Amino acid sequence: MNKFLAILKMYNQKFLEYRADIILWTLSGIIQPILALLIWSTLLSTGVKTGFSNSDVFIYFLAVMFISSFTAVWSSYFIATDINSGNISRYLVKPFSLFQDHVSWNVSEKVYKISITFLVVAVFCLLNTTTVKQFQFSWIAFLLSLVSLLSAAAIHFYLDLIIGLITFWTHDNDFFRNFNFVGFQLFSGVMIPIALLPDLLQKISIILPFRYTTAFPAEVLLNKLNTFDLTTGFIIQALWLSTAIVLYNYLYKKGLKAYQGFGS
Amino acid sequence: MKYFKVFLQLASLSLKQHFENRFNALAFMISNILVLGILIIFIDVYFSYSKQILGWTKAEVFFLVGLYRVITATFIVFFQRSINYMSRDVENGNLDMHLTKPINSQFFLSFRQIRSHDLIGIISGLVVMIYAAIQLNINVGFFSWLILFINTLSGVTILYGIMFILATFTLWFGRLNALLDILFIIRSPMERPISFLGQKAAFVLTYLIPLAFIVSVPVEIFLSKVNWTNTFICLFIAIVCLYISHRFWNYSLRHYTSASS
Repeated sequence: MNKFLAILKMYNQKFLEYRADIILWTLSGIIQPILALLIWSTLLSTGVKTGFSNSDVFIYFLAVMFISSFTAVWSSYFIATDINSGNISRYLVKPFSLFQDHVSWNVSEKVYKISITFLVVAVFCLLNTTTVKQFQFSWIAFLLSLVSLLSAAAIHFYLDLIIGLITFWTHDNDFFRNFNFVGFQLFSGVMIPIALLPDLLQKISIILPFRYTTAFPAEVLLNKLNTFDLTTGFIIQALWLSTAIVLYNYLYKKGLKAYQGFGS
Repeated sequence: MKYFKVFLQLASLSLKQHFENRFNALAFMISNILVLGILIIFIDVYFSYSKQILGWTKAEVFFLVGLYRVITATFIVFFQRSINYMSRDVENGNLDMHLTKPINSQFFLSFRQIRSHDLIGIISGLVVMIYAAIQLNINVGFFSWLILFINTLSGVTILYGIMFILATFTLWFGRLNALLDILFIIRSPMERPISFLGQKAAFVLTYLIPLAFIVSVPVEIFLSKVNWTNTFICLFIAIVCLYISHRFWNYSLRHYTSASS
């Protein structure tokens, strides 16, 4: 725990040095749900019927903004660079692991990202108080949503680490990161709520991990899922989480054996 | 002429670098086309609820998406990588070396690296534009295509101007690693007609930050939704953006204190 705090402090000081970056990173992480919110509100205002009311769309995308900041990941690129440059060796000699290092980095940077997102969400709420009031808030849904939010963050984080670790064998990681981005765009519900996707894509999205990194906690909060969908959703999320954890640990062990130590 | 020769040299140099890693290039092209596919799926979803949205038909929006791809990919091919390097150069002091080169520093820093992979973005954008034009049964004269071409160039120029102005802030902050993210923030609102974002956002993106004039207005001119004389506004804004970027760069250089010396 002390180690964790020490690394956390170190990263924290790093960010404070360059504050403009953190604001822009946060904005680029939530620009898509912001635009999606604007687009769907405009579509609804032209009289389109989608099964989503104005306040549904509003709450859904505000939740997605918050969730996107909460579950944001960026480790894979740096792990890939570290592996290719030989820098990954530092985890073999330093008293903390790759996992601890990246968790601390992730958490310390997120504290700022989440605070900035809160400000944006608050501005949207203040500008649209009537829409917010129409939303029927449920405490049970809120608590369930929090649970799924935490596992969403964990799934997203582990998957990102796994993509980074693949570099041990491929030496090149752009391919996987690009495809991950494509899948995320389509199936995570950041631009279009999954319920509004074409049937086939909806079915695919239920199996793939992307929905469980972003859209699912927002859907739970909205309280529109029936009991069956809710239970299966939680089960699949738990399955993805455990798969990701097991796979990460396996790949890390195997990867270090396959590692050739470039640059050293 | 000297500048043109230098540009050709720089371009051939970066082409050679890129072909070192062919597998990477192929993977990039596939995912680039997939991203375009997703944009089209999204628009398909919007139009599955209504045949017309705010006066736009599906084929018209496809045409816009095509032009959006052409303009942003052109920007990325010529400028993106060079502009990205600015943050690193300022942080580690390499900028000083570039400033001493016997060539205009803004020119050199803008054209240093060509990203040839993104030519696929231009090609796929053109394909979508042609497909949409056939769907729309567009029957316009040479004049309209010429106007569209001019507006495309001014769109790229406006985008370049805005991005270079933002990149120049590196000189003030000492580091701006988020330059890549700035492009993402700026280009995302242009993926569809600006009016889709609602009146307030459309107002901001037309009168405060002129993003509407990069893609949306040129398409509106081409599809005769607005008068063709708006071309002059696009050109005017392009020139203003270029001029401000030039002035701001020179002004910032005067106040630049260098990182390593």
